[in-house]
Amino acid sequence: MNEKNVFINCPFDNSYFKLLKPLLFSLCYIDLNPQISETSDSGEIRLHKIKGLIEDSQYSIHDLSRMEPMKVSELPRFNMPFECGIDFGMKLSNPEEFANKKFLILEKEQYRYQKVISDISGNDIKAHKNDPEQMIKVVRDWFKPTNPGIPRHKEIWLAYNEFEYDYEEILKSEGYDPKDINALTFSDIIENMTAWIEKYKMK
Amino acid sequence: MAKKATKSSLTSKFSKAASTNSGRVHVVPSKSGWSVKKEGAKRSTAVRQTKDGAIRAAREVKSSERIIVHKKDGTIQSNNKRG
Repeated sequence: MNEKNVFINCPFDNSYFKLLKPLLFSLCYIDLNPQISETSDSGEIRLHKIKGLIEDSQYSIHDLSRMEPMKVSELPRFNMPFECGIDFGMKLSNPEEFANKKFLILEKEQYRYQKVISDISGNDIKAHKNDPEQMIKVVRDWFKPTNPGIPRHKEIWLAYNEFEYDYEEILKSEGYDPKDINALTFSDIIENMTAWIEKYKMK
Repeated sequence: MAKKATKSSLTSKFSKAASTNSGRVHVVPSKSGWSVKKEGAKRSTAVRQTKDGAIRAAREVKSSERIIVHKKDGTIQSNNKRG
């Protein structure tokens, strides 16, 4: 289990992209390695990959904020609670191997989960309020005890905004739509973020 | 279907973008109002209660050539030469 790996379990759609990017960026900024399954993988391969990513990650971030449909015409999303359950199951069934594994559960509102998934009460559950800056703050604050030298959330948020400008400009120049979550693979996004942050910190 | 970009070209563009200073000043939403941030700076040079106030403060930054105004989610609202 890699102590810098963070398994990410979240929605993969364009409306969530505004939260996923700052989530990935904040992890890269504090020198952690986001582990995220590509959406293009087929069902069985995807489940095995998720299991592998969970096994290799000391930390997991589960965003359950899309338990409800975003629009009246949409259905709720069950992938996130399902993968969260796999993660909890692995930890409970292998308490020695995963003794140091830690979970951060994200929600839109602080106490809404109690009405729909009360079994997870007692875990670290934080609300990002669908706000990108708040996403950076809750993630940064959660990792603070593990890394006393961690930068302030404001520093990460300011850097993220500058990155966002470069991200839009570069993707447009390459013929991609920067608002499309599928424009690049997640591994591309993380690789580009990491390269950008490395140079930004040297300024 | 996600396109797989060539590693060298795209990643080097990101590295180069983060390395260079192009005289851009960013107006960024924050919990305390609107921050004015020079490119590459780790802290705000000014914080104003309103977006208009922050844009005015950004225009006063001597080295600024372009002013980038961000939306609440960090995306770009406008990108203008300093007027």
